[in-house]
Amino acid sequence: MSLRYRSAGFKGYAVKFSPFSDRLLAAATSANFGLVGNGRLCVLNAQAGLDGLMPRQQYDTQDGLFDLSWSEVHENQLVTASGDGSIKLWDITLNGFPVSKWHEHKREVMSVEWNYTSKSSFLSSSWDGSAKLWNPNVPQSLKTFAEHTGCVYTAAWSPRSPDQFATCSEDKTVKLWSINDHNAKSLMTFGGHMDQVISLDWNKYMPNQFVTSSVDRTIKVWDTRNPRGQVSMFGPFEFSIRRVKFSPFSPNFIATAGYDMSASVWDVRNGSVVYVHDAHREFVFGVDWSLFHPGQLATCSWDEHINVFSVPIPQN
Amino acid sequence: MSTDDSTFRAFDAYSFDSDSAFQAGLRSIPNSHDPQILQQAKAFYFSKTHAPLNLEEYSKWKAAQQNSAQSADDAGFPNQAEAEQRISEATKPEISIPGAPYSTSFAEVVEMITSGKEIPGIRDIPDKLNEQVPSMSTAKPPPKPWERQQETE
Repeated sequence: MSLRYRSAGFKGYAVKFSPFSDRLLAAATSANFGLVGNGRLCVLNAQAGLDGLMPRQQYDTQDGLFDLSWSEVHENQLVTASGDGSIKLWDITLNGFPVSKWHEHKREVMSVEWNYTSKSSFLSSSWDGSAKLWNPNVPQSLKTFAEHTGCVYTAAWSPRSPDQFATCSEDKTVKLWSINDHNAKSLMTFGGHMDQVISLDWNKYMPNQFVTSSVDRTIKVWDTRNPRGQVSMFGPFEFSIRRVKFSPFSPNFIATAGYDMSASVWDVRNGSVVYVHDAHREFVFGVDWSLFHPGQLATCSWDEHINVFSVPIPQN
Repeated sequence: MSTDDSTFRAFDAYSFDSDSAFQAGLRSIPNSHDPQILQQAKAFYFSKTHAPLNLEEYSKWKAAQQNSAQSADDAGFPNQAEAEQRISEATKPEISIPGAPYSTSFAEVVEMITSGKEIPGIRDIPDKLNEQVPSMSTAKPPPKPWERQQETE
């Protein structure tokens, strides 16, 4: 059974489960397809039984919201990525306005991710071609990583090396970085996608492995020890995949969401689709796995719905 | 409506990256880095400069195996804007909720932006911080599933 919440007038761009509570999730949404106008952060309680998804908090912003990340140190806080280049920190016990804000990116902020290993900092990535490292208690960014020659769609922390992260870009490359590098130069560049690389996530159980999706309509699995080529490739599909996310419970499964209006679960060992969620009626931009209930997923879509459902997949 | 394979193939092969006029136009479109918006911009440009290209029909051609839910009557669209509108038909609210912003179609929004029209319903949100005191954290971060497995190994 699928729980649904309607974010009326706002198109879903990203949805994330809380790392602290199995009943809490939030979605970053935008009016007018994110082209122009307001954004809205929707914080939802997932009730047991038929009550479904209940709104807990709602924050409106001047510009569209494209991503969010829950704090890994504070159960009531999360950061959002905004179309005007700003990043805001929200406390869901308060109404109305953010508790902190930063504005350094010169174009849309496309992704934010809290460091879920060291937990003390978070990353942002932007259409201005850079990624930035932030401490929530410091008013300026700690470091800027500017090597990509196009929009940086995703910056994602390594699950095992708290100082390393990877970025993927419009410039068709993926880069591996260390926040300790003195000159903020990348450690490695991965080429091979034929078009923009729009999403990236790490395997939580095989720490050298990550997965990417591209406008070339493929998914590629990579190994950091071999920058010269991917481990495996799936596709090309009929439509691009907008977001990829590795299971927190298994090294073998990824969830995807995309322009075919569905969300799917794949076995990365052989590229087989083990589940398809086809309840959305528009592009699906966000997908996330619950950290508490194996197989539980949340999705958000341009159809203005946020769905939560469980996938019956083997856990190994 | 007949599908024009040669047009679709030409569109597929067209080098938008090296077309400076297209690239210049692209810079004026907000969010043009979004793959779907980029695709629509390409179709629009291709239709103006080369041959009329119906994005909806093109998508169907690309997804030849996929079933279309549309009836034969409205399968053909004379221009791309209508095709876009069609794509976004599903986003319109099923019921009218008082106070809820009307969900305009993607094509309408693009048209309003490119023609400089005012977009309805945009609210002014003060760019200020909360004056209340943020909550104190009392919870210990739970270990991640992969950290739990490591502990038991």
